[in-house]
Amino acid sequence: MIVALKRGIKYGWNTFTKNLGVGFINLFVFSFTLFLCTLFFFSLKVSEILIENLKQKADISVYFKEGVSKEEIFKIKEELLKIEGVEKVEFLSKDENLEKFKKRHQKDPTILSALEIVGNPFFDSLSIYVKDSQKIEEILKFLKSKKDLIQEEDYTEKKTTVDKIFNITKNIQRGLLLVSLFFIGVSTLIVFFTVHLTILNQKEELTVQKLVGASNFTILFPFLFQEILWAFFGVIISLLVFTLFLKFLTPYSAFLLREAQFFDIFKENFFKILGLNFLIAFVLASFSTYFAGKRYLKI
Amino acid sequence: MIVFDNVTKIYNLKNKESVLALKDVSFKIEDKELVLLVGKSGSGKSTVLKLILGEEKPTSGRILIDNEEVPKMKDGKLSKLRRKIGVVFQDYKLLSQRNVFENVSFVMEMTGFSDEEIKKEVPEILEIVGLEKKIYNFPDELSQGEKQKLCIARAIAHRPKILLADEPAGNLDPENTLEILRIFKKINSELKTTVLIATHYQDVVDFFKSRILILKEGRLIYDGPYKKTLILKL
Repeated sequence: MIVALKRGIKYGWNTFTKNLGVGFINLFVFSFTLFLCTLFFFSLKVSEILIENLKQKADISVYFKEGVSKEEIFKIKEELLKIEGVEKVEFLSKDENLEKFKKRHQKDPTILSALEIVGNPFFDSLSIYVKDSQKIEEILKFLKSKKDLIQEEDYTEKKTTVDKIFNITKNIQRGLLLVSLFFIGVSTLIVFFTVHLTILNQKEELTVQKLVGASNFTILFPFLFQEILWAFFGVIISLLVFTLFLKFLTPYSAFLLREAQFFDIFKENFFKILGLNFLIAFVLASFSTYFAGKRYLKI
Repeated sequence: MIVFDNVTKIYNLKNKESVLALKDVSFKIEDKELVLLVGKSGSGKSTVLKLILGEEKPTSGRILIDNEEVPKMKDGKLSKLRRKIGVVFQDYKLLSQRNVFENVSFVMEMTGFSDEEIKKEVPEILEIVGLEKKIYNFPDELSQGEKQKLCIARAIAHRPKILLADEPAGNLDPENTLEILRIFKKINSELKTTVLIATHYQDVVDFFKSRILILKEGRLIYDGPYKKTLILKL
């Protein structure tokens, strides 16, 4: 077996070096398809984090009506803390809310001067931090029971945004999956035809191999080895291009994720991406080689 | 032992016509025998060889080699069977990109011989057929007779139990023919290989004076010892 494998590698290397021209087509096809697959996988990870980030931001702020006493607000705070899934509840008086707003807009004199005219438009508020987003419905139900005291809560608006982003990322993923599958199909066909062409060049040898009793594995292994080599280079190129792509994308993605996060996701998932790349490349190479060689094995 | 039991082979052509290649052919070839399969072109000789090699399947009847039915063999088993058979093809089927040594070693590599065995045995085999001085020549640099010798060397390289030869004297001059036929005789007597030679040449049959199977229009019309007059009737 080891001798057969050694010989297969030797013949595979010969086939590889003899068919560099055709091989470069394979390299391009492998690289492009693997790039798309990596992009699809990466988008899954990014959207997972994105949704999680948004959910984390989806804490609830409750603004109380003028005249609601601090005692009543603190009583509500206590009751909120009793709800499972609530991490903490912070009270901010209307003055503290005003200060916070001024601090956030300190570089905007128009807003600051407008505030001087209207006075303090803010209300006393509670910021509810949720550790389990599934409990939000329960919290909202509780707040509804106190609607006589509450001016407004801001979760409903946030929820719409989260849902919208969730739907967009789902659609992007679906699109990427379809495009990736389409290109996997196209690549299989292209690699199939290039292997077929290589086999056709060596048809004479294949016939002799088959007639002297060489096993199908012995006959096809050199072609498979050749394709695996191209696939290997394809994986390297696709990952290099993907790294450059991330570098290019980062400045445009600040509104989605922190700058370092893109590369963090890539680094954290590097071995998964690498494994996925090799798996797809190996399956693609094996299927194409097997189907391209199959008809010549029926001797 | 090779057994043909009522074998019929009909080729179905693409234009939906069918050609009868063999009709109810039965014979038995014992181990170490040298048998001549004689008949005109189109009489079914090559079909017999192809059926033994499992290249074609019979339309009906049974073909057994060492008590195993060839047409029923799965791919893996057929590969193993083929390792027991050496074939001298009518069109040589030599690998033009490989030299004499490589043409022979290639078959040994495919059938699992070690590098040491190959290094030792290829020159010995080439000596048997008289090609020891052409070891690094490519097929294009060989004469017809040398190509035929190389074909024989390749056919016996993996020490087959059975040697099939399809018109081995087809492209040769009388001198080379004689030399090639001597090699076959040597392989049969010294290596104890079963030899089946398909030919339509009287000279070949006269040289061996061995058992003859005569095919005419796909039917086996004679199976017995050498008789010169029988061949002349063809």
